[in-house]
Amino acid sequence: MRDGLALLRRVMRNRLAALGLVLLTLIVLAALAAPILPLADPDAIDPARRLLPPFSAGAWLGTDTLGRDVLARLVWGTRLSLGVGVAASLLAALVGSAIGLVAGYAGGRTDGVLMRGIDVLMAFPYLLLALAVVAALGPGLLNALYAVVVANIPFFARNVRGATAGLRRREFVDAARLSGMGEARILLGEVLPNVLPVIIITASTTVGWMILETAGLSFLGLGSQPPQADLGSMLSEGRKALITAPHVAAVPGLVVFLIVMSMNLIGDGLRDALDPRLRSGIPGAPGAATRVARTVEGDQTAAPDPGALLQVTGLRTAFDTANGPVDAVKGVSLSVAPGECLGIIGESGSGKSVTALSIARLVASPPGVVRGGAVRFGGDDLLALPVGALQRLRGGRIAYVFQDPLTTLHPLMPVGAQVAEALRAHRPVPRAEADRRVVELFAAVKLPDPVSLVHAYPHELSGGQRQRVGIAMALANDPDLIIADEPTTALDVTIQAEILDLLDDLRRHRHLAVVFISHDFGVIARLCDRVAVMFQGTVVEEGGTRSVLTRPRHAYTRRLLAAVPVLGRSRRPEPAPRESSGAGWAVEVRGLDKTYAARRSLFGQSLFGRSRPAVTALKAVSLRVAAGETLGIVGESGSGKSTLARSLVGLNRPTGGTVLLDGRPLAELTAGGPRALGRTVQYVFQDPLSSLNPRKTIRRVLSAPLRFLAGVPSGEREERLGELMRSVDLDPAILDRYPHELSGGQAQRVAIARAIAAGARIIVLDEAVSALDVSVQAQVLRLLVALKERHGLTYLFISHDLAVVEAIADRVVVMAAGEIVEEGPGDRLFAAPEHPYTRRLVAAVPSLPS
Amino acid sequence: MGSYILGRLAALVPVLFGLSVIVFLIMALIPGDPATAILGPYATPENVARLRQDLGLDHSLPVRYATWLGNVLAGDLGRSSSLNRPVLDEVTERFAATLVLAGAALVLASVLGLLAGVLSAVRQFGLADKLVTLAVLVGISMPTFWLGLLLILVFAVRWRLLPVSGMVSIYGGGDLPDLLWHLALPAATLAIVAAGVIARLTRSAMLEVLRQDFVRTARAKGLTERRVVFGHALRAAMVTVIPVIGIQAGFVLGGAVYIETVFQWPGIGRMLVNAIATRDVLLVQGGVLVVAASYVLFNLLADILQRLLDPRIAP
Repeated sequence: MRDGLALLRRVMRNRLAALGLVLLTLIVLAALAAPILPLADPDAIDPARRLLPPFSAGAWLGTDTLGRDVLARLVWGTRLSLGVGVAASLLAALVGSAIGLVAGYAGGRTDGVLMRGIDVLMAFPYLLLALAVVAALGPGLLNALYAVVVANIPFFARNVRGATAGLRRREFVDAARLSGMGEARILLGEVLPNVLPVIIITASTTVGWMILETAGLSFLGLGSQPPQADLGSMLSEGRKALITAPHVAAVPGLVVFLIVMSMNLIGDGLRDALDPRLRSGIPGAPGAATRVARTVEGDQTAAPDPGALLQVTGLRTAFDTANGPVDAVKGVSLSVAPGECLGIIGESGSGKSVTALSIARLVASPPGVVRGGAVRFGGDDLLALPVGALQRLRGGRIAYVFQDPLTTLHPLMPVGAQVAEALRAHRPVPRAEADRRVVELFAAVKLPDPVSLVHAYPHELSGGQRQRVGIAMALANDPDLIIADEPTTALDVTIQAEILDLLDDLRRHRHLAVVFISHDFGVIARLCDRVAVMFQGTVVEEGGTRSVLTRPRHAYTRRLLAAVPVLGRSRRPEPAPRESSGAGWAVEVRGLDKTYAARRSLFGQSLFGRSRPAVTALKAVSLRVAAGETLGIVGESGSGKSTLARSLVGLNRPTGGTVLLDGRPLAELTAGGPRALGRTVQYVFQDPLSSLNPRKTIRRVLSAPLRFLAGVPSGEREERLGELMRSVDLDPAILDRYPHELSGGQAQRVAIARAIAAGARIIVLDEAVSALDVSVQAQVLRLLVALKERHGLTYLFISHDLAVVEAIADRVVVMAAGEIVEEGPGDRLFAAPEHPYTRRLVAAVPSLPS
Repeated sequence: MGSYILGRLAALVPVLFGLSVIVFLIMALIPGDPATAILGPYATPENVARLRQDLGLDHSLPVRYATWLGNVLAGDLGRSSSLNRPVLDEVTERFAATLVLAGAALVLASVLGLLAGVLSAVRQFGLADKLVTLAVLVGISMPTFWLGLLLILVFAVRWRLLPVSGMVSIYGGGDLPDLLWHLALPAATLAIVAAGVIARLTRSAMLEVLRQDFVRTARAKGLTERRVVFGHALRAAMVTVIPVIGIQAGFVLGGAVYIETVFQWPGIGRMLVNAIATRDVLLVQGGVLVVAASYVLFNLLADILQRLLDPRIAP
């Protein structure tokens, strides 16, 4: 109810939607009040008063061909049209949503059968299906209603199914299952609230059509039959006197138009209010260059440094918000000499990326605006340059390499064409020559088989190859400066090492200046001559990379460096001897296999291309974890570490082998319903925002395991919730917040609290700290260690980050291509790796100077 | 690509099968005896008996369906009782007229919708955006059967610029300029809703795309804004817009029923409405079947076009 009122308030804030709501309310009130309004008899025929014009005495809107009062007929007709239209929407919404929910949640064959049926209905052009139904049932208003319902069911079914199927795979549904909730409860309690906006939005877009279509069927003579008249049949009758008395047809049509328009206005308002992306007043589409409005006095008058290639002085970049501009960069000054590499390091929100993007004015604008400072490059102030001149510099003398090459390359263009385009944007190059030059560039960035890769699309390349394409694009016009914004963050560590070597090589051979933005000290140390440390929009420290890293002067830098786990430098106490003999193993995995079956296209794979061969994700994996032990599992993407982790809690079904938890087979635990499993083992996912239901408060999230797994009676739950929050160092006062109102670190603590709530002793942590900033990561790691001591937990800690694993794990297994290649105590294993793959992995980790 | 088309064609088989079942059921579901319903209350018992035999009403439903489907595949849709001519002949003639009208409307709607959508996205919250948003709102809320009447009143009756109705002039008509002259009003009326929907969707798709990383990459390359918008953003947005144009084709075909009634266009929509009124069941069946099947094929074309644009769609 409270939510409903809040929603109404949000809708009313939209002026157009408010207008629609007022208009519709008036029309509905008039229709409802028809019996008590002082209206003439709508069916009284008076041949003497035929076709009176509007504003005649006794007939405000005139009379029709039979002398009936148009106003009276209009009100009664509106009543009928509205009633039929709304009834049709409710029916279509109910039936269509039910089909969609079941199909989306059940999946598999049920989904297939239901959706094929919907496909058949969709195969008819919209009105034609309604016509077919009327043809079978015969003309009549009720039959027209059924016809419109049948024609609209597919929209609800398709939209709701899509939303449901998407939610079913979300991690918070997995987490709810592990919290002991049954399937029906998950469907109604976790999925439906998230699908409801989709149903409302679909209803709001289709109710207008449905009224329009029932009126239309009546207009065609297939809906309401005389003497019963809705707006459509009035229009149809009025058409006979169109030329002599246009008002008879014009008035009912106008009312249909007003009803449908007001419903569309309300629908738009609802959609805006329900779509969280639009909620906070979305800014306009970003333009060609960041707006510059240098209103803040800075030191842009500072003397130019003649030796610098790029000199940024007093840069101040802000984002416009509803509450005025918020500065992201607060007076940053930097300079880069020709051929020099400057690193910019900082955590999320430090302003490092905004600084980098501000240089060529690529910050999305609106909402971005440069409020002060100067960016000098080759004698020009880039902030004062007209857009045309700026475009000549971009990709010409200043080139960018961005973070995730999958999203930064155009998904629908061959990569060669994208690089060629960069060439031709700056000088007229004949196509053949551009093609040749692209192959040269691809060879220069060491792409394998450059000639054939030219025609590949981004999704056909590996992450490392895509980033090489990104670098080739940046090199296309022999720039003087490359600005690289976290270019290796999305890559595996061995690929990262290769890309860093490539960049280092290129910059030395081509005398390139590089501005390199990263959150990773190791990466910066490997590449950069100088480093600037950013914190909350300012540069807190700058200097030679080595000296900043070894002798940090600013307190923030020191804190940050202390939080960075460094491989080979974690001082762990010798692990206590395990009493594995008596208590048995907490986790025992025997010969686990997982193969994803081959996908064959309909006509078999020999004839028609891309069927997927069978993929082996796990190959005979065996491991044991003693009670109270922390086992680290490391590997790169595709190594099978996440498949293994999910198999341990039954989130995916292995094709062979067994899992024993506390000595009991996993199959036995899952067979006993969600409770037995959830009390034994819990899971913490990488991204807390996707593992927490966005529509549930923290209180409701944490209550689920207490209620369903631990069976805590509701009277004691409040106290337990408080204890639980304090045990993960959270203030119980935030229990009533929603996940998106928490910081990343807080949200992950909530997820950890959920995992320990019902006393499960085995916790699987799947990249649980990977999405966090280093300082937050260090705190969460400390929390995990403390919880383990307090509750005697057993951890399976999965991560790609060797240093983090070394810091927390007693023992480590290394996975590659679905197999365990090496196993041993962390410090020893990383100090003296035996398997060649482990050796490569360890060598690739960027290290800090000691 | 070849495998994709074959795969899509194979996926059409169950859809076409379901579609034919529904069309067949139109007749089976008619309350009472179809033969009497078709021939009307004044038919002689012999005629009713003969028609019952022709329709195979003595057999079970599946047998009747199989016979009917066999005839349909052989190109025999039966004989229209009200027009006394083969259904197929009437349907093809009328459908051709509808295709002219609906095709013109769809092209008009796509061009207008795309241009307006792009303009309004690029100038989000500007004057152009507000005007387009208003026009879209009016367009998608418009009862076209009413708008058609108003336009006739203004353009044909008052200003006498365009013909009131029909597809060609009765005397000396039939050439292309004459056809276009007759086409202008009905096609424009029919296009208005679809143009609104396409414009609205293009706008939101463009807004989504314009905020994506690869658009920033395009700007970082030094491309001009025109190339960024049309060469990169619109190209990506088309992937979402094309299926909508495919769906709009269905709405345009359906909406043609109104427009043909209002403008007396000799198309299949008007034919269907008359056939329903005169209970000419075979004509309804034939008409619905042909239009729905062509719509399915049209959507296949839209899918193929989308696949050409988007290499990520698996075959």
